[in-house]
Amino acid sequence: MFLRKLILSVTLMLALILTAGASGSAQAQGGTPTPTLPPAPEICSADQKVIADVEAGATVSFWTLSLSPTFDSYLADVFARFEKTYGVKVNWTDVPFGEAQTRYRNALAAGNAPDVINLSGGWVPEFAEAGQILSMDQNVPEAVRKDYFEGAYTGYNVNGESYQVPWYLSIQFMMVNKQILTDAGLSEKDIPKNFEELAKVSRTVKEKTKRYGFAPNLLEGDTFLKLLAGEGVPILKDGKAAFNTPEGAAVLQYYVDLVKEDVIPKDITTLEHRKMLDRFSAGEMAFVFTGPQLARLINENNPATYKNLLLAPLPVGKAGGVDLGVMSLVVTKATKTPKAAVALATFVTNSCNMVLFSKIVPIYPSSAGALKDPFFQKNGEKVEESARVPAAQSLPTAKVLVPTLPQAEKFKEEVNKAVANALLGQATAQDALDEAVDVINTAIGK
Amino acid sequence: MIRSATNRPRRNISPYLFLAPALIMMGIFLFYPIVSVFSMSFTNYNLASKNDFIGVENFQNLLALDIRPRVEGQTIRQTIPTGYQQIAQVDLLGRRYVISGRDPDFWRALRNSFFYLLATPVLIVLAIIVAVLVNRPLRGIGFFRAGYYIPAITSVVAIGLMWRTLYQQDGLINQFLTLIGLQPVGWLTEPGMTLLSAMIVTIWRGVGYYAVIFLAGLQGIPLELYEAAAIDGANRWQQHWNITLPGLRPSILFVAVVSSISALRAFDEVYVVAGKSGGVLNSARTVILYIYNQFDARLIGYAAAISVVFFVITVALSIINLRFGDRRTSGSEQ
Repeated sequence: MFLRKLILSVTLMLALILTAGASGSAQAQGGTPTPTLPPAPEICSADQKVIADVEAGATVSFWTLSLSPTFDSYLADVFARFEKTYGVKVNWTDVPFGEAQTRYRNALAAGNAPDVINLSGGWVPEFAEAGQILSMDQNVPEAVRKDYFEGAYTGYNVNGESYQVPWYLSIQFMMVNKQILTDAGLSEKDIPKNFEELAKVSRTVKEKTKRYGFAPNLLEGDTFLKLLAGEGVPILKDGKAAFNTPEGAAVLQYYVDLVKEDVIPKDITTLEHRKMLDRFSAGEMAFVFTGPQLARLINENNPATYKNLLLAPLPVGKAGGVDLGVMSLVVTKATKTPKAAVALATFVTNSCNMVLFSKIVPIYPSSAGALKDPFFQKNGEKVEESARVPAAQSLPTAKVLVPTLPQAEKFKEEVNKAVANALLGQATAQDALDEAVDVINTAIGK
Repeated sequence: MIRSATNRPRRNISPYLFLAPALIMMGIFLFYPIVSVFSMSFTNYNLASKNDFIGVENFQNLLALDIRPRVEGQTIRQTIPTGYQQIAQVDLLGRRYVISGRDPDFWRALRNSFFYLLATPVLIVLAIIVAVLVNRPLRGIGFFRAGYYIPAITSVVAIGLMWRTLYQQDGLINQFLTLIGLQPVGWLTEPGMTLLSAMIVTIWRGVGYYAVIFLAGLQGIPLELYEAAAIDGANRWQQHWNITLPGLRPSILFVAVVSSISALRAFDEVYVVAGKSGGVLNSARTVILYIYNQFDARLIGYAAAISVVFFVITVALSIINLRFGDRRTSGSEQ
C-alpha cells in the first residue's frame, strides 16, 4: 500500500515537473538582459512637436510587437520624452509575436483596440481594407511623411494611400558558415552572388561535406512570393494573380530539382524560419537568409557557428532590388484622441528615436534624417554590424517586393499549397501554379 | 388528499432552486452558445463588419458536390464546374469519375476525421493487452501501472513537442530505422504520413487511460470463474476468450463509445504534432481543426455552419453506436 502511494506521488511529481519544464524553457527565452541606452545623438537635441492641436492631457494606449523585456528601458525613455514634448501619457502593452495577429484582429473587430498598434507591415492592408485604421496620408503633415523612405512608407498602400508609418526596417542577408565552405574546399570567393551560383555551391557542399547548402522556408508566409518578385515574375496583373508564367514555373522548378537531388532537404515543406536558423546554428548548413539582428540567436544557440559567421548580400534575382522588411505603426479609427495617437506614431518613428534604437539592436531606421547620423557611416565590430554601411546605403531605394495582395491570407495559402504540391511531386511546377492562380482568381472574383 | 395536491407545485420548487445555480451557468456558457451556433450558421458574421442573414448559403458552399465522368481530351479544369475544385477521382464500373466540390478542404477534413476513427480499435486492443499484463500480482506492478498512465496525465503540449522531435527527419525514430537498415520515413513531411503520425500519438497517449478502465473491469471478474474453468481443463487462451473478454464487454462498449467520440473530436494532438492547419498541404487537418482555422480567419458564420453539419453527423453516428451497443448487450443477456 505504501509502495503504491509512493509510486503515485512520484508519478504525479514527474508529470508536474515535465509540464513545468516545458513552460519554463519558453519563458527563459524572453529573459535577455536589458541593454544600457547609448548616448543621445545630435538630432535628439530638441524633441520637436510635429503634430498640432494635440488633445491636451490625453492618455494614448500603445501595443508593441514582442519588444518586452529586452527594450523596456529604451521604450520607457521614449515615452518619457514624448510626455514631456506633447503632455500626453502612454499606456504601453507588449504583445508576444505568436498571438499578435489574432489578438489584433479580435481587438479591432471588437472595437477595444488601443490607439496605436505596432505590427508587421504585411498585416496592414487587411485592417486598412476593413476600414479599421486611419490613413496616414490624411493625418500626417507632408513634411513629416517626406522624411520616411518612399519604399517603406508606400510599401503597403491600399488604393494608393498609406495607412501606416514605417518604424524599424530589416534587410535580409545571407549568413555564411565559413567552416563549411572550407570543409567543402571552397573559399570566401565562392560565396554565391546569384541563385545559379547558390545551386552550384550547394551541390559541391553536399557532395564534399554531406551537409546541406541551404534550406529555405519556402512555405512560410510570403517567402516564395518574394523569390518570384525577386526574379521579376509579376505577382499581380490588373488586380488578378498572374504569377503562373513560364518564368514563375522556372523559379519553382529550381527548388523542385534541388529537393530531388537532395541538395536541399525534403522537409523544407514544413520548415519554419526559427527552425531554419536552429539548423544553421547547429552547423548543418552553409547558408541561411535572415536579418543580421538574429545573429544574436546564433550566438546563443552555438557560439562555435557564430565564430565562423560571415555576412554576405543575398543572392540577387533577375529583377535585382533589395526586399525591405517593415515594422509599421498604425492608428486605429476608433481612437478618441486621433491627434495624440498620430503624435505618438510619428514621435516613436522620428529620426532621433530610430537612431537610438538602431544603436541597441542591428535594425535600420526608416527615415532619411536618421541615416545622416555618423553611426551609419561606418561598420561595427561584431559580425552582425559588419554590413551596416552597405545596408544603410541600400535603404533609400529598397522596396517591399511583394505587392499588396487581394485576400492576402487565401492568396498566400494557395501559393504555398502549389509550392508543396510541386515539391512533393504531386503536380508539375507549371500545373501547380496554374491551379493556384485559378483558385485565387475565383476567390477574388475577377 | 386535496390539500396535498394543491401543495404539490410549491413543494416541487425547491429542487429547481437547488439546480438553478448550475443551470444558469450551463445556460449561459453551454446552452446559449450552442443555440447561437445554429443561428450564426445562417449569417456571414465575421466579428467585425458583416453580420447579415444569408440563408443557407454557407451550407450550399460547404456541401456542394459534383460528380461527373472524366472526358478524354479534356483537362480536369474543363471537366469540373467553375467555382469547384477537384476532391478525388474514382473508377466506377469501368469509367473514371471526377468528384469536385466548392469546399474540397471540408471533404478532406471529414475524410481525415473518419480515418481517425481507425485509432479506436487499435486503442482497445492495445489497452486490453496492457491491462491483462499489469493485472498480475507481481512485485512492483504498481510501477508499471503508473508508468502506462503517465501519458494520460501529461500535458498534451509537452507530449506534442516530444513527438515532434522524435518525428523529425533526423529524429530518433528515423535514426533507429536507418540503423536497422530501413529507409527513414517523412513522418511530418509526407502528406500521406502526417495524419498517421498524429494518430500514433493519440494511441500512445490513450492506451494507459483506457487500460485503467479495463483493469477495473478485469478486477470485477470473479476469480472462481477461472478456477472452475481450470478444473474443467480450459487452458489460459481458452480462459481468456471465454471468461476475460466476455467479462470485459461492458468496459469495451464504454471505451468504444468514449474513444470514438474523442477520435471524431481529434484536435490537440493534430495541432501540436502537425501544426495549426494540419501540417504539409493540410494533410492531417480534421474537421475540428478546420472549424478552428475558419474561426481563426474570422469566418465565424461559416465555421458555425461546419459545426452544425458535423454535429448532425456525430449525433447520427452516436445513435447508430447506441443501437448497435444495445443489441450487443441484450444479446449477452440472453
